[in-house]
Formats: sequence, structure tokens, C-alpha cells
Amino acid sequence: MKSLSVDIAPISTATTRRPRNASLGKAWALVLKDVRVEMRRREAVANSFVFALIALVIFNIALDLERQRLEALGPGLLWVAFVFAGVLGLGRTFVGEKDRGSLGGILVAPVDRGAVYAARVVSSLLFLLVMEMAILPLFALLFNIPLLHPLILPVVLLGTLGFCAVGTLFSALVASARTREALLPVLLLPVVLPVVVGSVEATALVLQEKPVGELLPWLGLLAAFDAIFLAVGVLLFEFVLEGSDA
Amino acid sequence: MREYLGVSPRLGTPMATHEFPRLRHGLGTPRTFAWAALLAMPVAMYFALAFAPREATMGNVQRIFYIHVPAAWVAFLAFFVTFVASGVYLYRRQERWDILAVSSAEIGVLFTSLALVLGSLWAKPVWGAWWTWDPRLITTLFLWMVYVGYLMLRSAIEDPTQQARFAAVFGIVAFVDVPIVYFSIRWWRTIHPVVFTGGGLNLDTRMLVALLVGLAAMTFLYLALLSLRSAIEAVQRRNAVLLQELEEREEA
Amino acid sequence: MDNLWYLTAAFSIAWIIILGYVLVLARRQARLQESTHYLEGLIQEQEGR
Repeated sequence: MKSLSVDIAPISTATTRRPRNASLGKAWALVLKDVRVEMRRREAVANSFVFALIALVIFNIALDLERQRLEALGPGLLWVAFVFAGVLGLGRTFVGEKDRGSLGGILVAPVDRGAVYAARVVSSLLFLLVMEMAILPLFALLFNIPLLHPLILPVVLLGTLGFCAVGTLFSALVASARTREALLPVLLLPVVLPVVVGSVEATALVLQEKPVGELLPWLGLLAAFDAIFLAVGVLLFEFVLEGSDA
Repeated sequence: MREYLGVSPRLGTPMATHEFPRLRHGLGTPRTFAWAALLAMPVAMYFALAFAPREATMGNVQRIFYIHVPAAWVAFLAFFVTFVASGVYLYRRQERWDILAVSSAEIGVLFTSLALVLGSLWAKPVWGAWWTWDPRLITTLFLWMVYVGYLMLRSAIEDPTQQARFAAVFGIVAFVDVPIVYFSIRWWRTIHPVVFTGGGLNLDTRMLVALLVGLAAMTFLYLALLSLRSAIEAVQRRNAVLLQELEEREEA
Repeated sequence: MDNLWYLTAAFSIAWIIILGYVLVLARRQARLQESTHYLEGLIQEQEGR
């Protein structure tokens, strides 16, 4: 009796875990593929990095910022730069696939649509995080504000994740539209407004060196937004990919 | 002739040209709702301008309330209809749900614009500013931006079934986002002090009656516009399909 | 502070927007009727042959 139960247990876990592991592995393979393509072409990261940098320089000149106003405006400026640079980076994610016709290859492969979506969110997240991690020290240095605090990392991570969750879905939506470059920000920016609000507030709290306790509600809020947007994306992504087999 | 016009392959509903002015659609005849709206609108005007008492602190300008609130309500209702129709379209893949979604979204944008303009005209004399960054106002502006985006997305995609599918996806995400936007702004506002407070409006019974009449009238107007707009959309699509079919026949 | 000007403006704008939209719909319908007549003619022409 005892040996039987021991025997059954590993079998049942194996049968339930195998497909999940398999689709995780496939999703990971897709992420690696995106990373390799990006390493070769250097489109998303380089473009958005240069754009964000230029945006920061323009902000400084246009607003003629002094130290005092910077502490109030800094978080907002930083996230405006991130978001606009992010739109620029995301806009290319499905367009490249569409032009090269490689999306069809992925869709023919026996991969769950949700895994394709998750993989694309992760690779977009990676690219934007690389860009943001390069911008952050430059921002702190150029504007001379103490933003390089370890607590900024979860804020940037959660904010960017929410942005990528919606952005990935929408960049697939506009990939075949006539005015895709112009349309993506129009659709995306209002919808990610809650994520931007949360990120700016959390960044402001980090900048004011408030205790972690004050930061946690905003981090929780951002995490909740991310969860909702990711769930919606996983559920709806199959309808976006449907029929695009060419 | 019936053969071609009678059953359009995409709409699947029997329609002939001579029936066109009284075209039936899922929501009943446009004419019934049009009459209801036509009768209810003047009644609502009477209730708003004469029946309701003059508000003590704001004065007569408060009467904007009786059309502003119904306009905002209809806008929200219209986007909710778009949300539901989008979901049903993705589930059932019947074109009429897509027709309903696009028609309702367009009317929703119209009423959101109306609510924003009326709100400004109320805010200026009462608060002294055309606009305040209050959660409700930002959410209304958000609705306007998002559903204008919805219409732009539709017009940017040429393939009809892809347009319907993508618009449905966007319509669902947009509506799910509405409460998220509202609560994030409200939470944000608790940190940044609110400059103007809405001010608790104590509605007496006659005010409430005027508001309810306004809500009913505006809802009838919405239904009338919606059925008219979706009937037009249905015929427009049928004609497009028909034209293509006839051209193919001509070539053959 | 009655501000009847704002009240008048609000009610006029509401009616203008609503009637304007009805006019837009009427124009779309008229144009559709034209295209329907054209299609009818096309069908009759094809059936005549």
C-alpha cells in the first residue's frame, strides 16, 4: 500500500508538470531568439536609449531646471522619457516579424499562444530594462539628483512590466495597420496611464528617501496592475494572432 | 434580384432594397426608439428647465446637471455595450455584434464629448475654472481618448474580419482599464490635495425626478441613434460585399 | 450667481451636437441609398443579359 502511493505520486506530478515545463521551455526559446535577433540588429535598445537621452536633454533645456524643482519634476520627467522611448522600442517588435515573415514560423510551431505572448513580454521587458538601466545613472548624473537607490529597481521593474504587458498586445494589434507608428502611442499611452501614475509616485517616494513602508502600497498597486494586464493579454493574445499565418 | 439582395453572405439576414428605410436590426426598428426619444426629449427639457427647483447655492446654472449627468451615463452605457458586444463577437463570430460594437463606440464618443463640454460649462461658473484634474474628469477624458483611438484603430485596418477582431480585443482592454484608471487617479489624488471639491449636492425629490426623466430621455435617444447607426452600418457592409460580388460576376 | 449665459450655452450646444450627429447619419443614409440604387441597376443590367 505504502509503496503504491509512493509510486503514484511521482507519476501524477510528472504528467501535470511536463506540458507546463515544455511550454515554459518553448517560451524561453522564443525569448532567446528575440535576444539573439536584437543582439544582431540592435534596433529596440539602441533607438530607445538615444531617444530617452535626447528627451532628457530637451527637458532640461526647455524647463531650465534648478535643483529644487527637479526633485518635484524629476520622477515625472524620467517616466515620460521611459514611456516614450518604450513606445519607440515596442513599435518595432511585431513589425519586424511581419516584414520578415517569421511570425508564421512561430505560429506553425506547436507553441501555446499564451507562451508566445509571455515570451514577447519578457523579451520586450529585457530590452526596455537594459535601456532604463543605462538611462538611470545618466539621469542621476546629468540632473544631479540621488536616484541611484536600490529601491528604484523594483519600481522600474514593475512599472516596465505593466507597460510591456499592454504594449506587447497593442503592438501586435497595430502591426498590420496602415499608420502603425502613429497609432501605437495613441492607443497605448492612455491605457497605461495607471502604470505611469503608480511608477511616478513610487519613484518620487524613493527620491524623497521615504521608508519602505510608504513605498509598499504603490509597489503592491503596480503589481496588481501588472497582474491584471498580463491576465488580459494572455487571454486575448490568441485572437490577435489568429489567421496571421502568412 | 431577391436572390442577390435577399441573403447577403456576410450578414446572413434577409434584406431587400425596398425594405431599406425600415431596416430591421437586432435592436428593433429604429423608428420606435426615434419616436420615443422625440417625445421624451422635450419632456426632459421641461423637467430640467421648469419643473426642477432653482438650486440654492449654484442657481439656475445647476440645471446643466440634468443633461450633463444623463450624457455621461449614456457615454458609459455605450462603452459598456461596446465591451459586451466585443466579447460576444470574439466568442460567436457573428458580424452583427461587431456592427453593434462600432456603432455604440461612435455614439459613446459623441456623448463623452457632450459630457465634457457640458461639464466645463458647469464648472466655469461654479468652480471658476473650465477644467479641474479630478478623478472623474480625468476618467471621462480618458474614455474620450481611448475610444477615439478605438475608432482610429478600426479605420487603420483594412481587412474586415481582422478589423473586427482587433477592435474587439482593444474594446475589451479599454473597458477593463476604466476602473483601473479611476482608482489609480483617486489614489494619486489623495496625495496631491484636491483643489476643488465636487460639493455634496443635496437632491430634493423634484430634482431627482428631473434627473430620472433626463436619464430616461437620453437613454431613448441613445437607443434610437444606436439602432439607426447600426442599420446604416449593416447596409453599408452589405453593399460593399454586394459590389464586390457583382464586379466578380461582371468579370466572369 | 445665476449665469444664465452658461445655461443657455449648455442647452444649445447639447442640441447642436445631437442634431448635428442626426444630420451626419441622415447624409450617410442618403449616400447609402444612392449606392443601393446603383447596385440595383447593376443587378438588373446583369440579369438582362
